Amino acid sequence: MSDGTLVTELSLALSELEENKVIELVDLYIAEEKQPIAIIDELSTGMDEVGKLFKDGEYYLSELIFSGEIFKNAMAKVKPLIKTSEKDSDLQGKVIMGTVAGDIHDLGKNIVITLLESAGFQVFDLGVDVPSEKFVDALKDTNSGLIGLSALLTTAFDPMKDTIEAIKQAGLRDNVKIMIGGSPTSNDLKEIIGADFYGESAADAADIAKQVLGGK
Amino acid sequence: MSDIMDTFDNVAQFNAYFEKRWEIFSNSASFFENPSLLLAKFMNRFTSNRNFKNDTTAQKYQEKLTRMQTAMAVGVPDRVPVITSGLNFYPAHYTGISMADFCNDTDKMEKAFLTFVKESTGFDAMFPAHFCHCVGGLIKATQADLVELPGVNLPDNVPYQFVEKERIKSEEFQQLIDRGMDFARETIFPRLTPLYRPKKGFSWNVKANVIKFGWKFAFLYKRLMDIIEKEYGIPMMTGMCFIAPYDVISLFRGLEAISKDIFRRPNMVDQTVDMLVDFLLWFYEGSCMFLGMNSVNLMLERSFSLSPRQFSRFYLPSLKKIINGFAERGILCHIFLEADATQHIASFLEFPPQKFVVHVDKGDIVKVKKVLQGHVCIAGNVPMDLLVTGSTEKVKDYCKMLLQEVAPGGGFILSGALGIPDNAKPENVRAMVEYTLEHGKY
Repeated sequence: MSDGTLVTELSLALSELEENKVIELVDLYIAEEKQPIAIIDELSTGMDEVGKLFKDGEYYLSELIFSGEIFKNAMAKVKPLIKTSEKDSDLQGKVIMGTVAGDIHDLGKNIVITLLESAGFQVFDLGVDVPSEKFVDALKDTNSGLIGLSALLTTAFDPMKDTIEAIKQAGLRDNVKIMIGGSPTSNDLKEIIGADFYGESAADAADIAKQVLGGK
Repeated sequence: MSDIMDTFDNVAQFNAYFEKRWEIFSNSASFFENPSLLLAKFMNRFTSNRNFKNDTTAQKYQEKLTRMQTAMAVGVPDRVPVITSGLNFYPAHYTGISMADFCNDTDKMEKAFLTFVKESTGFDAMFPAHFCHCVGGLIKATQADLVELPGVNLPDNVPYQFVEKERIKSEEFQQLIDRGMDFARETIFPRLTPLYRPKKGFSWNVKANVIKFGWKFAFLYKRLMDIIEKEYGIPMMTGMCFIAPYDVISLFRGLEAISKDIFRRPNMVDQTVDMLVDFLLWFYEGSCMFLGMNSVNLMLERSFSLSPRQFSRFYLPSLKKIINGFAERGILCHIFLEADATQHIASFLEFPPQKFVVHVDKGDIVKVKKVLQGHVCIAGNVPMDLLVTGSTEKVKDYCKMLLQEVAPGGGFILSGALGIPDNAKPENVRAMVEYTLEHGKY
């Protein structure tokens, strides 16, 4: 979708978190019958810039959350205008996301989902307290290329490991890459439990997805 | 130990007694001058008043206390102190009982906690693991859906977790600002539990259950602290766990919602947070005094989500009032910087020096020490995942880094980042303590 290089008035308004201006411009572009895909492209460029500002330490979690909200509301206006044939063709890949068994925290996961969707990925959200079997079933049903396991508790480390083991037992481990994230997780933990990637922040998830699934 | 509840014939008598005692404390001049001594005297009438087990225990206690107080005063003690910091369910894991039992069964909790203490006397100070019990008891007595509990609505070995959801709507801010507790009683509190009737509040039965639990827990709290200090010679460093004023609003709005509020309705957030400060200071101070504790845990739960500019506007003013308030009353504040909130540490130079300790979770603790050197004591930060899944060698390597890079100049306490994780490997916890005892001398 977005090549991340063309800054427009809309992408700038989004990256500067000017909610009213974003709504105004989206309404204007729709009225002018601008191509919906082109509008989405500009919105995605804006989110890319937000991700960059987050990594550079200019923005923090609250800015990520608010930008996600602006993006979602803008997309809600534009998405219905996209022809069915165009909808799936532009998606970059499929990602399954869930907070593992025994953990009911979902904020980090939800922010990652917003960032992945803004980058054009199709995300299947399994929710919280997700048992291993549900991840395996989702993988079989969706044929996703990437799974994101989220946790905020150290007691969720074993369920993360169990999920990876269950995927192996189902004979699906070679078909999918697995990323982990959440405050107590680390690169060391990734090595210990056999995951492929560790996202130190929510913004890393989109980069990992692009690396694994390809994309702009 | 006497059971106060046995002296009352009915709830009315019990309530009358509580109201009378509270009125005395509230009106007493010494309540504000030296509250912890006053409450300590009161609590001592009803709790056991042990002597130290023997002279050796008394001496050990004094050594550890001196070491801690020197470090907390930003001095150089004989050795870097090593503490448990937050414990929560670790004693359950350590002794092999379930988290559900630890949270809900007083006898099992006490046995597990004291077994852990008996086998962990290398620590220079401990925090009260039995705080989990308080959470469990209050939630069950009120049926509040704020927290899910192990063995109740979570599996037996899953720790309790806060349920994040919007409990105040954005369009209700103005009513909360204008009408305060009246609005809270009408609208917000009934959302937390079916037992809270709009405007009427809890029934007498529920109030009695809460007060009964509270009194029993207060005695349990004090009694276990007393045992740990007098029989094992380990100072107990803190009272209850509280949260910053901004975080109270954040918890009731939900982190997603408050993060949008600070952009969409910043003035309302300011006013709502400010409105809470006096009440929270009164409540925190009162709770502290009631337990006879002269230190508190103050959790900065959501500060990591804010930029420095947002922190300065929305979080810092009310936090300053709380910390200054504690300092004026001689209450030491242990501040817990959850996640990586080190972008805010320069602001801590505005707080009264040596009146608080900063516990570091994630982030560069070396940088934190450099910024706050000489102003405040730093504690931390062996990573949680290292204590759970790492090798003892890696734990020791991290402790070595802390002793070499953070300890010099004093004003440093070694601990796990925010504490000992619920499922830490005991050998890793032992390694952390033993390494500090062996290599932490100044």
